[in-house]
Amino acid sequence: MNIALIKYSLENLRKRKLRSFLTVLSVLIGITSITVLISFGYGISNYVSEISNKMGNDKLIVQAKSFSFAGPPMDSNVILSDSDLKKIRETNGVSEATGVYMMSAEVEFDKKKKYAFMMGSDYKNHKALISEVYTLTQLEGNELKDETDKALLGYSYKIKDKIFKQPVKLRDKIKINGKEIKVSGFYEEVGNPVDDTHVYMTKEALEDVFNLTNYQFIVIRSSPSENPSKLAEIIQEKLRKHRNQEEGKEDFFVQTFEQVIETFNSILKVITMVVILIALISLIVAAVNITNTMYASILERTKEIGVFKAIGARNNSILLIFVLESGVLSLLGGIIGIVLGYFLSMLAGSLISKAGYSVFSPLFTWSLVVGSLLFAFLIGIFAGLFPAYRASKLKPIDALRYE
Amino acid sequence: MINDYFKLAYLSFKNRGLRSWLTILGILIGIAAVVSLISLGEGLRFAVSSQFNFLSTDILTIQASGLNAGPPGTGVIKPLKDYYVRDIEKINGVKTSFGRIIEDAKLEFNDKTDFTFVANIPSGSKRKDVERVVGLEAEKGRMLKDSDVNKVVLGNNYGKQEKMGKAINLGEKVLIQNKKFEVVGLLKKKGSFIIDNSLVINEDELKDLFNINDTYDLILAQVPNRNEISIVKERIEDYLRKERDVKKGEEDFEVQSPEQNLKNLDATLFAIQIFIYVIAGISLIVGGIGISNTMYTSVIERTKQIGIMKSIGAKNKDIFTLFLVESGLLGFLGGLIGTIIGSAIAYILILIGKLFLGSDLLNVKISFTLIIGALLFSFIIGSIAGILPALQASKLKPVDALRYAK
Repeated sequence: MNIALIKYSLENLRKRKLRSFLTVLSVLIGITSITVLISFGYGISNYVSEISNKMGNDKLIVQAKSFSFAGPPMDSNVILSDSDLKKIRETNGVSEATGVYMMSAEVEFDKKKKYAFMMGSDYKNHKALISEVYTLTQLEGNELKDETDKALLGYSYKIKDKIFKQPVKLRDKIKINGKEIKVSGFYEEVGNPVDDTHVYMTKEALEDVFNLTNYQFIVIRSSPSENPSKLAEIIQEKLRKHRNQEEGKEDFFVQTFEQVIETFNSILKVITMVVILIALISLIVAAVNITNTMYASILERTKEIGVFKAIGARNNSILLIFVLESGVLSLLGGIIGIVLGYFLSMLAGSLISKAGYSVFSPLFTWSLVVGSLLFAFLIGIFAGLFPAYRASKLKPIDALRYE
Repeated sequence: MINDYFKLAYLSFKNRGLRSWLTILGILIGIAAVVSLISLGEGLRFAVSSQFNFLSTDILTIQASGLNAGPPGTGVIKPLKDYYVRDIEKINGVKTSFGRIIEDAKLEFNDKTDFTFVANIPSGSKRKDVERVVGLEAEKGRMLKDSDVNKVVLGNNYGKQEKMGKAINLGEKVLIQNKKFEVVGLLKKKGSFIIDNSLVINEDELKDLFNINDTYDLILAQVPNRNEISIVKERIEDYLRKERDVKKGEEDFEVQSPEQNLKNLDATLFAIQIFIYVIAGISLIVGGIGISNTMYTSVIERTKQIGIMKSIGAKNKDIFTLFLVESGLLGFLGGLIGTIIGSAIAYILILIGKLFLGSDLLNVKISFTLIIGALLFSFIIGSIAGILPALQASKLKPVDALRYAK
C-alpha cells in the first residue's frame, strides 16, 4: 500500500515536470545559500577551536585598557613594565611568564618601504610559551635566540607581489626603521593579511636596538594544578596592589586565553546566526511556493481524489499522498542544493584564500549534509500539510462533481 | 483597451484568491526583508560615518604613514614635526594650519575610571581656528583660554549621569593621568561617539602630561577656496617631500581631504551591506520563481479560455500582454505590501534598539528612491517571471486550446 502511494506521488511529480522543476528550484536556491554560509561558519569555528587546542588552556594574558577600539592599543599610556612582570612571576601558581613588545615598523626591502607590526619576544628563556601563544610553526630558517640583528618574517614576505615585488629570501638583508637586519627565517601562513605581515625579533633586539621598555602584553602559563581563571583573579589583585590602584579602577586587565577566545567565538556565532537567518528567508519563500504548488496540484486532481475516495481511500491515505509529494519535492531541492552548495563553497573558499584570507575556508561535515536534507524534507512536509489536509477532507461527492 | 487587461487580471486574481495571495506572499517576504535591511543598513552606515565626519569639508589632513591602528598618530615611524605647521601655513592657498595631538588617557571621577581620548587646543589665535574647524562649542561653561592652568573641557557625554555614575558639573575636579584638572566647560553634543566621549586641554599641558616635545599626530590645513584643494594638496606634498627627504611615490606621509578619509571607511561598510543585501535578495529570486510557477498553472487552467479568446479574434500579442500584466501586477502588489511591512519592521527594530541601547544615533533611513526602487524592482521581477508563461499562452493554437481537456 505504502509503496503504491509513493509510486503515485512520484508519478504525479513527473507528470507536472515544469511545475515540479520550478518548485525544486526554489528550494534548491535556499538550501544552496544556507549550505554555503553554514560551511563557512563551521570552517571558522573549527579554525578557532584548533587555535584554542594548540594554545592549551593554561595561558593567561595581561593587557592595558584603552579607549582605542581598533587594533592593539599601541599608543596606550598605560605601562606594563619589568616590575609588573616580576610581580607576576612571584605569584603562586604561575609556572612562567614573559612580556611581549610590540611596535610598528617600517620595513625596507628592494628600496620600497612598507609598514608592519613587529613583535619582540624572549625566545631565549620562553621559547615554548611563545610558540604556543603565537600558535605558529616556523617554516624554514634558523630559530631566534637572543640575536639583535636577525628577524623572522610572516608568510606574506615570501610571496611575490604580496608585500614586496620580489619575494624576501632567507639570509636577505632588510631594513627595519633604518637598521639593517638579516632574515633568519619565516613563519607558516596564518591566513589573514595582517598577521602574515608581522615581523618577529628577539626581546633583546627591541630593547637594545629599538629602545623599547614597556611590554604590549604579558603572557603567563599557569601551573598544571592551578585553575587559570582563579589565577587570573589572583594576578589581577596582586597587580592592582602593586600598581597602587583601587578595585574597579584598574588600568589593565587579566584574562585567560580561553576567555579571549570565548568572547571572540560568541561574537562570531552571533554574526553567523544573523547571516543564516537572513538566508533562511529564501527558504520561507520556497516553502510558500511549495504550498502554492500543492494547492494547484490538488485543485487539478480534485476529481481524482473523488474517485479515490469513492473506491474506499481513507482520509489518511490522501493526506499521506500529498504530504509525501511535497516532502519529496523539497528533499530533491535539498539534495541538489547541497551538491551545488558544496561546489560553490569550495570555489568561494579557494578564491578567498587566494586573496590572503585562508582563515575563511569552508568545512563540510556529515551533520551539515544530513541536517540540510532533513531540514529540506521537513520544510516540504510542513508546507504540504495544509493543502494535503484540505484534500483529505474533501467530500467524495463534491470532489467527483468538481469541474 | 489597457483597462480591460487590468480588469481581466483582477478577475483571474480573484478567482484564484488563495493561490494569488500565496504568490504575493512569496514576493512580499523578500521585498519586506530587503527594504527593512536596506533602510537599517543605510541608517547604520550613516551613523557610523557621522562618527568620523566632524571636520568641515575645506580641510586637508596631513598624517605620517604607519599602521592605522587606533587614533591618529598611532604606529607612526617618523612623526610630523611641529615646525611643519608654520611652513604649511605659508603655502599659497592655505588660510590657517594647526597641529593636533590625540592621546589615550585615563580619566578618574567619582571613584570610576574611564579610558578616553584627550586632544590639544593650541594657544593664541589658533585656538579659535581649531574650535571652528572641528566644530567645538561649549554647551555649558566656556571653552579654554590661554591663561587656563589645569583646566579641562569635557565631551558632552560626561554631562550625563550614565557616563561616570553621576553627571560631572562645572567647577568639579577630575583626574587625568593622575593629575587634577578643573572642569570649566562641557562641549555641545556632536552626535559623534568619539568627540562626545573625549576631552580637550591646552596644548602645553597635554605635551607635559605625555612627554611630547616637538611632534604632532595630525596637521590640519584649511583651504577656503574649494577649487584650490587639489593644487594646495600638491603644494603641501611637495613641501613635505623636500622636508622629509623622500622621493615621489615613496612618501611616508599622506595628505587627504576629509572626503577621502571617509571614503575608505564607507567602502568597507558598503561591502558588508551589499553582502547582506545579496543574501536577502536570494529570497526575491525564489519569489520570482513562485510567480512563474503560478503563471504556468494559470495558463494551463485557462487553456480553454485562451482558445475562446483566440477564436473570437484575440491576437498573440493580446494574450501575451494579458498574462504579463497579471504577473507584473502580482509582483507589484507583493512589492507594495512588502515595502510597507518592511518599513514597519525597520522602525520597530530601531525602536527596540533605542530602548535597549538608549542611543539616538541609529535612525531608519527610508529614502524615496528606496521605495520607488523596491516597487519597480518587484514589478520587474513579476514581469520577467511572467514572460515565459505568457509566451507559452500566446503561442497556443486556438484549435488545440479549445480541444484541451483538464
